[in-house]
Amino acid sequence: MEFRFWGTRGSIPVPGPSTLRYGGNTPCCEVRSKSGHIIIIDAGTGITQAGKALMKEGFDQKPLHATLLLTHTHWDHIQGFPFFAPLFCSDHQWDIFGPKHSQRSLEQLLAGQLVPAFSPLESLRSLKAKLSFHEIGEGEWQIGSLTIKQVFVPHTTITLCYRFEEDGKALVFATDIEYMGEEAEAQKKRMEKHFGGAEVLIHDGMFSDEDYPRFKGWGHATTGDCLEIARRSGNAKLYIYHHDPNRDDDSLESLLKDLEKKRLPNDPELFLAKEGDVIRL
Amino acid sequence: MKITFWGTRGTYPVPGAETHRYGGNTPCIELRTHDGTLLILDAGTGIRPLGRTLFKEAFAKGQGEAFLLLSHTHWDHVQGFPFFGPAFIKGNRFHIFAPRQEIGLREIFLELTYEPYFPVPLDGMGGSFDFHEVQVGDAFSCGSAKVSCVTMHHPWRVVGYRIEDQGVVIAYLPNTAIHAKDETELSASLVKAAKGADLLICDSTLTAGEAAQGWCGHASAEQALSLAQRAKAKRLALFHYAPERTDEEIDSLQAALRKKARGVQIDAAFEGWTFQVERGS
Repeated sequence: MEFRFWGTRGSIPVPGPSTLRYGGNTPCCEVRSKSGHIIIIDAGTGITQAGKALMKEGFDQKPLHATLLLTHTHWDHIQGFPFFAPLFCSDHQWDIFGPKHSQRSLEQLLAGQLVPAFSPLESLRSLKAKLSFHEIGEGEWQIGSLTIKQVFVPHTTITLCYRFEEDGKALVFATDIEYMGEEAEAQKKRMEKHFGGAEVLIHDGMFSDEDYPRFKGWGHATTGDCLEIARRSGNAKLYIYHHDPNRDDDSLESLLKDLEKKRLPNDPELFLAKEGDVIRL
Repeated sequence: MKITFWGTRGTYPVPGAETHRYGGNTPCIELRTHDGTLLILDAGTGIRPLGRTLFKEAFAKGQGEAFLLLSHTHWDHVQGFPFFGPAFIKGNRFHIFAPRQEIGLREIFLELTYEPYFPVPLDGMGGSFDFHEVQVGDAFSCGSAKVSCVTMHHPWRVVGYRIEDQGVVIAYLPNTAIHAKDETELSASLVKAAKGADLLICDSTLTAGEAAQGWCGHASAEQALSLAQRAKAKRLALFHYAPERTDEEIDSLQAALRKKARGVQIDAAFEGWTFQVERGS
């Protein structure tokens, strides 16, 4: 499988000269399976770039049946949706999956961005592709040669974490997670089971351990949490994800350097998730 | 009046190497009137860095007050609001103006901060907000400045703002075609809105070729110049760049327009641009 980062920034896009290295687009990633299936994960502004790339690949002229997996519906994970070019292609079919919210359906939450007050598109009907919406809970299923496993994670709204397995190798995309308070240890034990043995763990590391007390309850983890959970789960590589909008490229590199100091022998290799980077398993 | 541009990009934020000079943040402009009153024009992602600078002032202590004038509530003009730091500090007061939509203005802000989308509800944000629905023809004061709501030609409900203070006039027309939907002549209402403006900030989303293809609610820079000339505006700021417009393309556009400007000073607005708007500047 091939995994690509199209957006690595949390909360809100951060354009500007000081985010050129690690990126300013909000979360979006892409998985390509051996079987040729295309899966986009999350629809932050990074999805606008993913869409452009798909058009350039020729999908503006040919049909495509692909999948969009949403971890949750916070703005930074859906705000790119109305600007995703493939949704305007009449010979495209997109199956959209996400968690079930108690008050509104997944379709309603995405359609809520397209009402006249918010968008000149005015409704989902302006999108020409054939769309299907599927609310999912925890489970395991196949898309082509990929096995997908998802579990709920602790965040400030209902949120899923997806694990991708193919040919005995696994990658986990674990964003928007906070291990908080008395529940923290129990949550870590649960996530260890989900992350266990995956070669690659991509994990929310928005805050440093020193920053965290000011942001308790915001729904995000620390870099220290990431390292601890990746160590416990036996991951070979850890990518820090969901970068704080207040951290520029230099500040992110300091964050990584500080984390490196806490690294023990046999700990995972540490990386900052970078827009445009590709992981091949 | 002192003006600072914090976001100049239209439609959606565009981080990256090709947009960092003119900017990738969606619209937000800071205006300081003669008596020091703060006006904020639109709440695109540019409002987040503006918010950070305001913490050096009364806003940090909950003693701040500002007038937030929204041209409309399409995403690129409101998406920054939940990330505007001063709105979270108790005591800060915000007077929010926008044209009425199919739902009420307060309902729009409740939707912006609704739990599946954003973790802090409007009523939990700390600041106090009063909402004013306006329409073309309305006028009100913001400190020493007088603001009139003027026509723009765009899908759904929009207003431009004509702001006058100590004889200095700024016309803010960020999202408008140059003529009404079923007409071909330069709109007399727009000419009136921009008449004699010391600074006209105008929609420049389209290329000349795109503008020739028919009405879509936006203008080209060439059309913005025609408006500036007909209205005898002293100065034109190109604004609301299309997401795909690169810094180099904007350089060329500015250069080409300056060659044929005749009587109008033309600048392509860029993030960080700050100056005193003078009479007859």
